[in-house]
Amino acid sequence: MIEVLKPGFFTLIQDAGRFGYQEFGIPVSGVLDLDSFRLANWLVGNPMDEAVLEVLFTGPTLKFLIDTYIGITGADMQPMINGVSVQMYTTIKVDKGSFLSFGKLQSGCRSYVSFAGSFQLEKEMGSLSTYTYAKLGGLKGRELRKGDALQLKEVENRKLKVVPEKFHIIPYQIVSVRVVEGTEAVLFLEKELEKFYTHEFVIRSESNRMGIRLEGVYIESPSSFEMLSSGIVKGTIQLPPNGEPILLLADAQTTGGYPRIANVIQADLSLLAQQKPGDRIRFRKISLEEAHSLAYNKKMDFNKVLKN
Amino acid sequence: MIQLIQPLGDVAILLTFGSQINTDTNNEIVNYVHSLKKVKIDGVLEIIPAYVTITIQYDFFKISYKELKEKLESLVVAEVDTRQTKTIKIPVCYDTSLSKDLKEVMSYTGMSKEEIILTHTSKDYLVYMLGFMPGFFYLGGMDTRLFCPRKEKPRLKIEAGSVGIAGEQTGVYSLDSPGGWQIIGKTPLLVFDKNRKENFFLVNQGDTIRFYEISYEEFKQYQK
Repeated sequence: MIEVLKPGFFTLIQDAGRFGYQEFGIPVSGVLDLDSFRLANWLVGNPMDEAVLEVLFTGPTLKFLIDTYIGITGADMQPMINGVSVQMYTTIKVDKGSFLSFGKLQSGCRSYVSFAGSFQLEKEMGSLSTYTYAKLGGLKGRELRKGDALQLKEVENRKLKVVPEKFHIIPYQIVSVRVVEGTEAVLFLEKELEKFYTHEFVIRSESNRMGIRLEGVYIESPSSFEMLSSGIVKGTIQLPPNGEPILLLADAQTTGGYPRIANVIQADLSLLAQQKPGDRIRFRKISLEEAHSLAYNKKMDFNKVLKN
Repeated sequence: MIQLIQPLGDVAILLTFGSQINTDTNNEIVNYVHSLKKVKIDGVLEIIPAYVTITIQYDFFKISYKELKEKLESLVVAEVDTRQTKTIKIPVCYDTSLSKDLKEVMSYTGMSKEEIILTHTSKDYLVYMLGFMPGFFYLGGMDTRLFCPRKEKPRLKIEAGSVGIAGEQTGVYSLDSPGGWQIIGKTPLLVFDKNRKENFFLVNQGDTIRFYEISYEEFKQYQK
């Protein structure tokens, strides 16, 4: 068992997602940074889609009542065991009675903490992913709170591993995010599209797991165009009439009614998940073929690590 | 007939069947989805039907965009048997305390509160699709006099049960959520309830909805 002494800012149990219910309006949910998630599970010898803790901004303080192994990836929040710094991106052996705590956020905004084995929790609609809006999954459908207990079984010895440095997240000044053209892009005036691709956007504080709200430059929606609600995917960028783009994430609605100006490619969603309010991003358009070959190359790169 | 096929991001394909909400297009979409599910194309992950579109998410490591496009274009579509015709009556309280945007809707439509309520409750609505949030149902057939644009700036929180209108659409929020619809009332019923094991969702595609007015006191009674 692992006891939650401090919950952190917003800590959720997440797995790869809840599939098959989007036609009923249930979003996929799941981790926002899939890359860090997979690496965290790899570190402790888990299946790649095992549930982990997704930690936002500030980390929790946990007391371990079992011997186990953990892995920490993603944002650097200065993790410590019993007050002594530990390495991220390595397998960490944790002894019964130890405490895991975190310091200050150094880079990114979401850390992933994996535990060898699986949480003793009932899946809801096929997944342990927490979807707080509908109180689905995770621990009672909500974020961790002080006094919560995470039930985990002790496991046999696990191999100690290290994630190569090229897969660690790195802080950027301005992130360049690659997109493919949106389904309603042709309806926008040329100068509005140009603004979208040449200006910097700042992530607003109202952003959450549903979507990243952006500000920076006003983009005019296509005139006299009232769109009918239509399906979206993770990474769809909608443009409401206030001219500020909304970039949809894992907990987003399954359909939306604003023009879709562009769509972030899947290969860049993990990078985007590490951007926090105040961070700046730009968009760069690529072709569908390029997007698919980038995803393919990325998968090959990851497979080289994950097969070990 | 499919009028347009285009990529939606790098993980989905968007089929467009028309540009207006009507029962013919809806029938076509219901039939298409039914046939597509039967065929089970390897690599197709999720199918999200909407008013005039179908979004199909796929695994591009299993099937390329081009291959999938060809399969979708050549899909043989069979007619689906008669739809279920369940009529569901939904109580709505239009009290001023629960209808945040009634004034705005009155000024857009030029109708009084009473006229808006009468118009909203005197029609049968067909459920075109579920989506947007758990169990949320999209209705067609709203009286044209109630047409209203979405809010300029979406609200960060609208309470579950809120009844709204936007464009030519009307519906009920199933969860507390951000949203851009004009709110004209609230129902005490739960549209989505994960504890209602046999029936997570109050309404299904193909059902008919009828709204009826309840007083604020009746609304409060429901919540006990």
